[in-house]
Amino acid sequence: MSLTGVPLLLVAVVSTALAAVVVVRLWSRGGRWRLAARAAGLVALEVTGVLTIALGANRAEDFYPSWQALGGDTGATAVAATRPAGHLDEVLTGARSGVTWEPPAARAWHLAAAPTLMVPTGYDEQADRAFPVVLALVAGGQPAATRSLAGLTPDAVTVVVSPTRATTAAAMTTLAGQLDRDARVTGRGWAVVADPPAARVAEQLCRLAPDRFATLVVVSGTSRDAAVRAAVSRLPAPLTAPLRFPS
Amino acid sequence: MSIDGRLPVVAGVIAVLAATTVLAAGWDRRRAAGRGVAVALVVLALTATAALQLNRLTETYPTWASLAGRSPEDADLPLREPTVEAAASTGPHRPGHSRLLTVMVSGTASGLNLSMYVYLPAAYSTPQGQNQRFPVIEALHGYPGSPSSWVRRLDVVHHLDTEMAAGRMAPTVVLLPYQTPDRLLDTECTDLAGGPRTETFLTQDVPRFARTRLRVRTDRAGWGLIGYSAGGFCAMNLALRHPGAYAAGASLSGYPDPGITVGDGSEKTTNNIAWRLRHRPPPATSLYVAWAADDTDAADGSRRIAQLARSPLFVTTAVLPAGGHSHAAWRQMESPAFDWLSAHLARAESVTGR
Repeated sequence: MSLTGVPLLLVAVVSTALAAVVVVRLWSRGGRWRLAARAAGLVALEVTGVLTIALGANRAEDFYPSWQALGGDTGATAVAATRPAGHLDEVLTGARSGVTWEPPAARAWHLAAAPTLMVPTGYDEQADRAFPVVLALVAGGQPAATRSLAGLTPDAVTVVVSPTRATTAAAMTTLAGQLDRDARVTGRGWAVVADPPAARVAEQLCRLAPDRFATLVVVSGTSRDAAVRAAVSRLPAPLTAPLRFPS
Repeated sequence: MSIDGRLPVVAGVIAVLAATTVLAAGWDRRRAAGRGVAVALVVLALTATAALQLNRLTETYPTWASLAGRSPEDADLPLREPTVEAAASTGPHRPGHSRLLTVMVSGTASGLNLSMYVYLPAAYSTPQGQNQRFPVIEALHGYPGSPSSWVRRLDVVHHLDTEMAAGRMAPTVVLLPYQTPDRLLDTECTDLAGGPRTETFLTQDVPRFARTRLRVRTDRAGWGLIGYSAGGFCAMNLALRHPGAYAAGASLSGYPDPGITVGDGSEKTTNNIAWRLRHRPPPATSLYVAWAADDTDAADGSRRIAQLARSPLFVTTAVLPAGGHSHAAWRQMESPAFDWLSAHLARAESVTGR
């Protein structure tokens, strides 16, 4: 019988009514057991009355829609998934200054040179964590840009790319999926740091995939380092896989 | 004897049985007036016992003092420490452990003066943490309820400690404010016309207090909201109404509308999440919407919110198979929701500059 169904509520109402009738009928009967009979009848009336009100309220508000819910059984427990290793994890941890990254989709990005991928200190020790990403779109020489970014992006995986005139934001959106496969990175909330000549592509990228490429900073001149640091400070911390309900 | 313990309820049951016995035994010896008094006593004892049990479930009145009519700011909440500054000035308290403080928030913008629990993560008191500003989550309770519901019924401190220790959550300061100056007044975190300005309290006074008295981030990237039941509505509604102040919100069994009359008709428009998502441009923010499949109203409302959301608003959904609209369901939901929020909030930043 359902906890919130009409039948149970009817049973409760009828039980309350019966208890009331019994109390009235037996009130002056029972001989030497009269006191006990009265008290028992009243208690029964009180219990059924309170239960009826509680069942009615529960039916109206769905606090406990089932006996299962009333028993505190939610039918599932959240579990933490195992964080899969990145395909390039071993290569990345051995090259602190960055490695040349050559994912299959890179050809469609039309970059001036292959991207550089850098992981933060502690990337290998924290093998169960995913790291936020700083995507740097640089206009000048890539090695120099990579060197200048080193130390500015702690606790983040940094990807340095040099777009050309042929580079489109639409093509660059595939970078996210490629990086998901190759490194332990978060699935959202990345920071995009762009030199002014690459700002247009960066802006379009953020517009096309705003959840993934969430923060855009166009950097130039003396304020460059501060702007990069500010963007990095708005990234989430590297975290282990969250608890989730089995789907 | 705590008001929300088992003892008062047991005492209530004993009182009901005693009053019932007196009624049964003395009926024949009493006149009409005496009988009436005996019946009234039984009804009173029964009602009081049921109310005590109901209060145990909701923590509407977490202390006897609050039941006696003392306003929330005077409530004798547990784990009280005089001020955050005083607590901090005494140095780390039980190093390596989180702390739960009680503070007073004097609302200059709202005119409300209400107490608030403050959860400080273990990292807050470490030498490294003392040079950092932490992300913040405002945790909102249901109606009827109080911040004590989070602490005692949902065991929030244990859940936060566990998630942070496991690395699923970054060290985060969690604020648990009252949402009403009157325990039986449902504000749904809105500025009631001619009534308490709770929205202003929660979105201006509480953040101002935290920014000036605690080492917390001051930008939107570091601020989030969470709530269960009515608090779930609050978390979503405030996140959508104040996207410049909060980066994300999490709702546990929340509804798409306040279910009260705000007094200016806004429960049908700007304080109605479904209306807002249909008629206003969505803000660039993120929502986590969780519900139990058998909690019909919250499930329907939550599904509607998820269906109405469009970029740049992103909604993540989580569904429990069962649990209804109960603390058991929210205890299951809170850790995944806190994990999700932490992944959507900025990390702790250095006090010395960005």
